[in-house]
Amino acid sequence: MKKAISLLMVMTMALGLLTGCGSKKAETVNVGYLVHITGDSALWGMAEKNGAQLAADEINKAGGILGKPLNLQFYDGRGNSADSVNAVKKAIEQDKVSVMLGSNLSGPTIAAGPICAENKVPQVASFATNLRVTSDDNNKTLPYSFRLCFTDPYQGKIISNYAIEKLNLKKAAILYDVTSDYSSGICEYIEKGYSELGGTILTKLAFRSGDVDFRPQLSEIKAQNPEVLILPNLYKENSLIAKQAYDLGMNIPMIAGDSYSPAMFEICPELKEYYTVQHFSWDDPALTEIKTKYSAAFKEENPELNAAMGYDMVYFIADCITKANATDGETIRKAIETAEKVKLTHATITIDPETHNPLNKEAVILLLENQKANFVERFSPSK
Amino acid sequence: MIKFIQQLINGTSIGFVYALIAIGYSLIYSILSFSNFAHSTFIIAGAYTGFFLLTAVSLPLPFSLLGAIVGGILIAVFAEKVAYRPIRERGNPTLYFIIASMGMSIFGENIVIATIGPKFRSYPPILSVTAYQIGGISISVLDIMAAVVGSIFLLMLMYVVNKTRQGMAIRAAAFDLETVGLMGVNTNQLISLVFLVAGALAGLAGFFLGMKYTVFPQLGNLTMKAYVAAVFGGLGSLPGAVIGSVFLGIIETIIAGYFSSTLRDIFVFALLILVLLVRPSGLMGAKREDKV
Repeated sequence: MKKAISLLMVMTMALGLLTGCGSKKAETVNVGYLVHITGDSALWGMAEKNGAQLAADEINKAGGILGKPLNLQFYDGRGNSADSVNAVKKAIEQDKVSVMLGSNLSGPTIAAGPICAENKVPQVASFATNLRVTSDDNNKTLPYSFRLCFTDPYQGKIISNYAIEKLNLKKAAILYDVTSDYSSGICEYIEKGYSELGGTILTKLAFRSGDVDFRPQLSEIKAQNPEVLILPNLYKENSLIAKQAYDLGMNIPMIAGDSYSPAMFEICPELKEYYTVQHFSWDDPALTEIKTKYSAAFKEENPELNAAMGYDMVYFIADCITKANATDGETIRKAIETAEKVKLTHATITIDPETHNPLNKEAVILLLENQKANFVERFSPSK
Repeated sequence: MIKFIQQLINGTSIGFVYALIAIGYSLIYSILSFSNFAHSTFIIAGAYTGFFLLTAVSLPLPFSLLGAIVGGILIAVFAEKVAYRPIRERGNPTLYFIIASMGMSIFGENIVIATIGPKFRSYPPILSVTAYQIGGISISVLDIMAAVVGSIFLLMLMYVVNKTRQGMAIRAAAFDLETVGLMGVNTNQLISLVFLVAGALAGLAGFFLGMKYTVFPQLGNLTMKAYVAAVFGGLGSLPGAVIGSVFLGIIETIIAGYFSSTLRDIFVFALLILVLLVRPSGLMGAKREDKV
């Protein structure tokens, strides 16, 4: 008798477990999101998480994905690779997520990549700009890794296309940091863009990180008489360069990458005709709605821009899952790879199947003048 | 040709700031025969004091400049009393001075990061006109100011060293500190005086550096170049430090402008090694046995 009871109990327990699993799988679409909500980069991670939650709530209110509720779960990577790997393992092995979103940091995202690939779960990074996020050391594209932001070198393409197509500045000079990967990576694309579009790089001069005096290089550049000065550097160097260029009597337009900081006006208050390429800007009218919603929901006047990225990430994956019409990793992977013209708030995304990066993604162009950053337009290269 | 003249002006102005640093450094070397790496801390002290007086207290420019000098002096004299004097009194080898000065330099940089923060801060725009344009050549007002104020201080220093009793004591101490002590000169007071002068010049240099390039905890790293300049000119020689500094400033500018800035430091330090091999006492230095 005792034996029979215990057998019965074991059987009910097993049945309970089975139905538990089965029902969960059948009823929700499980999506994991790697965010860094503790540690040094918590400020940005938190904004991204809240933005994503906002989108998930909206999607569920409107009926979910494929008729099932979206079950978006967040995993804290604490801003480092080891914790991120553990978090992603838990998401995939225990919680059986179909797709892994995030993160905004390159290191942890690269570290989590192999785990996603082993389990055939696609990974979509938000703000990880390092080239190695979507390709291996031999520049071979990683089949399960994607991203929605543009890479650092891609800024070089935007810069050269914008300078030539929009501003008609064909004779350029470059002043870049020879010790920085960021700077020389962008440089390469600028030179390529200029030669493809019929522009000329009159001179390309370097400095070393830590330098504060750029007048020797600027005097040389001035003698070449370029129409535009291209500066793929960090904000502090760029503001000092601008200041010293004005002192040398060089008053030409300048274009820089995504290294904008309001502190630039402190260093060089007379900054003018200075264009910068940004991923996002709250001054972009398209983002006003997200900002209003976010501020209302989380009582924050000036949220970090990652909020908008988190929001769009969820809408992007919802679109891909809907198109895949399935919740298994492999089918979703194919849907992401072939995603075309997915209209999000901050940009319209087409994934390049070759590189797994967004193809000719729009960037926001800001013009720094009169002590403030002015939104000019969204711009994407024509080819 | 215009470009070349412009580069000469650029180089001279960089050299002048090197000179303010190199002289204080050279002065301390000539008395105590060791490389005072803590000199960078004196510069940072001047730069931040000037910054806070201009922004938080809104003092006018001349007073802020004086304040920066006082800031440099206080830190320099304090460093001497706290770190160098106890080592000297125990009669420890020169190596201990160098290690203590390295420690202080690292301490200084990090205490600024910990208390004020690692951010770049910029001096408020004080000058209404920032540069004069003369026939395609541009001269920065700040550079003129730095050159004029710097020259006044250097001439004053030359006068003190060559014409006054204290100056004579300093010159004598440069020959032999112990003997000077035996002759009845208060060496502790004399060394404090030397640190005071070095601190004042470092504070002044810090103020100009801050105005020109913003203030940040690693600002003092520029001192490395001033060391090189001091060795070029001849350690222990004041005119040598000035000549070495301007020489270095111009060479750097010309290499960065005409060749490549990647070659700049390679060239400068190769030249340093060459000078040490061919003319160990520098362009104008006195012959000495041990050089650190």
